Amino acid sequence: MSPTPADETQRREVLRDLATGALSLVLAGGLAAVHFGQAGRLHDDYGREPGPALMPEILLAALGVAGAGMLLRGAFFCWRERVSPVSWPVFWTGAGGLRALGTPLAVVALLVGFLIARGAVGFGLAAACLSAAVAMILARQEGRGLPRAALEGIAIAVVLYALFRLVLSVPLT
Amino acid sequence: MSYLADALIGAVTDPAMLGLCLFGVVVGLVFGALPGVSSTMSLAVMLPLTFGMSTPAAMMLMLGVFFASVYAGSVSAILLNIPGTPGAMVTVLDGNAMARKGRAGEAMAYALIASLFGGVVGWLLLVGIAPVIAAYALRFGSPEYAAVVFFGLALVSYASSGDTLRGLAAGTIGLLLGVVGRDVVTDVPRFTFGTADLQGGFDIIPLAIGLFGVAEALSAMERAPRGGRVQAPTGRLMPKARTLIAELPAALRGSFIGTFIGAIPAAGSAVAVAVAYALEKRLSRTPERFGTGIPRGVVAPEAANNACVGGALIPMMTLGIPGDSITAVLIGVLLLHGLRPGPGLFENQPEFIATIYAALFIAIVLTGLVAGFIGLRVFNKVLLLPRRLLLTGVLMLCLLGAFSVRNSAFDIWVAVGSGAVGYGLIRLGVPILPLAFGVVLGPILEENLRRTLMIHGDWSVFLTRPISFTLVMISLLVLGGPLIVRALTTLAARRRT
Repeated sequence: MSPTPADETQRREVLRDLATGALSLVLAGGLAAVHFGQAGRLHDDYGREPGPALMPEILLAALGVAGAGMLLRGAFFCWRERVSPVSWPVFWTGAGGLRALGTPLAVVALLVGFLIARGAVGFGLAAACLSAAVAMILARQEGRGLPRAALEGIAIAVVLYALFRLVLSVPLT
Repeated sequence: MSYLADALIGAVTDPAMLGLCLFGVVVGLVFGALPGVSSTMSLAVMLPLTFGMSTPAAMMLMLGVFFASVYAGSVSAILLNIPGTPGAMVTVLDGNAMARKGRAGEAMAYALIASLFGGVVGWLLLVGIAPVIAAYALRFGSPEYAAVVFFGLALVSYASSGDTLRGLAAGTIGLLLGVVGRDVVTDVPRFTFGTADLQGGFDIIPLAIGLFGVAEALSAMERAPRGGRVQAPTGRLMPKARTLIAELPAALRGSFIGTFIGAIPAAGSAVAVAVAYALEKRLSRTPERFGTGIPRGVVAPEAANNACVGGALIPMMTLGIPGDSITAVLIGVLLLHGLRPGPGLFENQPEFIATIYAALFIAIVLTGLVAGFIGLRVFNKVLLLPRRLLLTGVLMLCLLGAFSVRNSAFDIWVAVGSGAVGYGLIRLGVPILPLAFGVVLGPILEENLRRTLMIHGDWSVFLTRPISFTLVMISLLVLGGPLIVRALTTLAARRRT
């Protein structure tokens, strides 16, 4: 018998619990290694003043407990129901599946490219190129003409650049 | 009272004064609606214009900018899911959800009406019982400050859509981001990884721009919707009178919460909107509808946010204490003109105090008129833009807004990085709001926690002082309650089977 949509929703939640729990634990562990490995005055005794190490240690412990809680909750559900968290086809193509990541990842890559290019060609030119590229990606997704989208993207960049540079006097370099 | 009546009549009948306040309101509305341009920045930009003005004229201009920019933070929160200020971070939950359902016009109208209502209630309390509230707010010591921040964070974790445990993890990560940088007491670096850019820590605005704006834009890019628009058409503008009246109690509660928390120095609008939103969710018969786009989720935090304006002026006017960076700029304006706010000003220049009260009232009325008759219609047009233009514009605004906070390229990296992380968190079903609140409130919590332990020696002080005890207990109930209830329900179900 194939799983019902309600089952799939619950399984997706379990997968989210497992992933978020594992990530929280890794983050807490990694940051704890950095924190306790730090030399200098971080772990000195400051007398009545609790010192700068107190707050991070409380927070790292809390994050670890929350991560372990989510991991245990997800694992407990898998053990009780005797199921895998989510079926592979749903994980890949279902609503919110991994296949939908293509465009957002491409845009994140463009944003990183903009940040690197900004130093070399200046804010204005890099922003115009980024804006044109993003507009073209979205126009392609909608099945519309690319040259017009590129011009629209450049126009948006020019208007907003002028607003911040000339009206608000932000030194965009 | 006669001073106030004279000041109001004088300001209303003086076209120059009225014009200055109107100019301030328009500037505040435009700047406040831009992501990354905070109320403090708007005031700072206008500050040089006041050098040649009389003090009343300067206050007319600055209070116009102040009130209008606080309200306008809700515009980008509702339309673009980008809260321009910490006070607008809760408005995104239901405001943007309403916009997605084609009710952006209504959401903006609710925000405006609630803002004006909150502003007027805050003003009335400022005029009527400012010294009483200020005296009570001064009873807050470091244990109470720490407890109220913890309380705010607990309420945000509870009130955000999604799972409380995931909300707790997100809030903890936010608090960890808040401790990054050099410790203010010992100057010891924490989690800076040897980089110069992290020595000063993270600024909340680029982080919020990334977490809400960039992440939301990335989510909207996953698939092209039918019709080529991100959100449905904006629908009717004015809500029905019957539904407006139904929201009145929420607006009133939010206004009182905003005024009181706004009067506590450093607590700020972030805590006020979190408390107001969580209270409404708690009182509601259908709490599961919060976060899906209901007017009450906009009305309560917006009323609280704008009531904070009057609240923040209470310690400034009565004691000369700036409650936040905005009132610090206002005190700067007064000092520039040779006036020192505080009890002495009340005794020696009551007519000037009345002028400030009159200026704030006129700013509230003008914000209502300008935003109501022009602003709503203009802002609404944003959603009618084709999807590719809107999303491209949002991304560009995010980059420019992040840079303009400190003119720092590092802040753009922060916005892009937090955008990618926020997008990942959305996909994992982790609420983003507690993370952003953690960054805002982390430094305040740490400062007051350490001061408490240094002065009182141990943690038991939180249980021996009535205000902190009450706040800590409610926070623990809010955080632990759902987990305990769920565990008990599961146990009962297993026993039955």
